[in-house]
Amino acid sequence: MTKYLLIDEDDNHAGCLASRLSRPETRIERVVSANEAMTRLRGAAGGYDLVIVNVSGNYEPWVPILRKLLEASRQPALGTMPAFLCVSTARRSPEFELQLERMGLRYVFER
Amino acid sequence: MSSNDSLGSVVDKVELLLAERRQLSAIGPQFRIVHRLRVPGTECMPGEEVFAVALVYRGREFYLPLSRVLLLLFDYLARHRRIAQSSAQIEAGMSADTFYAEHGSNAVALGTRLTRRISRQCVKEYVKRLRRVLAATFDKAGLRIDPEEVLLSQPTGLNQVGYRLRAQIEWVHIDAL
Repeated sequence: MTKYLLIDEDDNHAGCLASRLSRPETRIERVVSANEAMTRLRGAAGGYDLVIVNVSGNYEPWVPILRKLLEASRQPALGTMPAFLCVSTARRSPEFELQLERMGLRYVFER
Repeated sequence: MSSNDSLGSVVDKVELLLAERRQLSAIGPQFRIVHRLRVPGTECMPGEEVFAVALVYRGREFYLPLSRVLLLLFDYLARHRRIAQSSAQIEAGMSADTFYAEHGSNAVALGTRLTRRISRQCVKEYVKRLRRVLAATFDKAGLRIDPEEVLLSQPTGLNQVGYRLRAQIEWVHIDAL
């Protein structure tokens, strides 16, 4: 079973993405805020394989938010920490992409 | 609203990340161990020095800041990574192996002694230190894996703990620095 945590405040985007990723052996949980995501990541039921964050909103301070999410996902008792993928429907600067890369995250722009 | 076509790149990236994660879970991260002071034409022979250990992740090298004794222990655990060994076995194995007994002796002309003996009493502490260095290096590299899943502690019977490195290892040799 592959377990995803999708952090996305855009209902339409989240619905389309969940639909594309949906498989019989996957479980996708969606939250709309980083705070809610942190609670899930710290929770005993965590154990996510992949965290997908929609970083399309230009006005959010994404780097500090992502740092907090990474910190919340460090739960050694739950085994290997989840991988993080940031997705955006808006083109972001190379500097932003590099910052994410240095944090060990991957980024993809939805063309 | 996103079209399914625009999400194709996201799905591709998700598959890549899951493949990377599966590989990490199955065989661990990749390390490069650098030996130097070799006799030309030979590899991994007594007299060489374990010069450095680097984590190789997403095309980059991240050097582990290891003391000489930890470099030797890492090299030993890397060579014997298929079987967990107790502290006593590690001490015996390293003492009996001429690679470690004669470590760096090819530099004897320089008047430098590079050998280090590892006692079984110290192995547990060295393992702790190695894990701390691994944690710091994984953090620097953005590699999201618990060091205890890389340097494993496994029961070997009779209340003994065995240590095993779960990693892909590559040895490279350099002739001069």
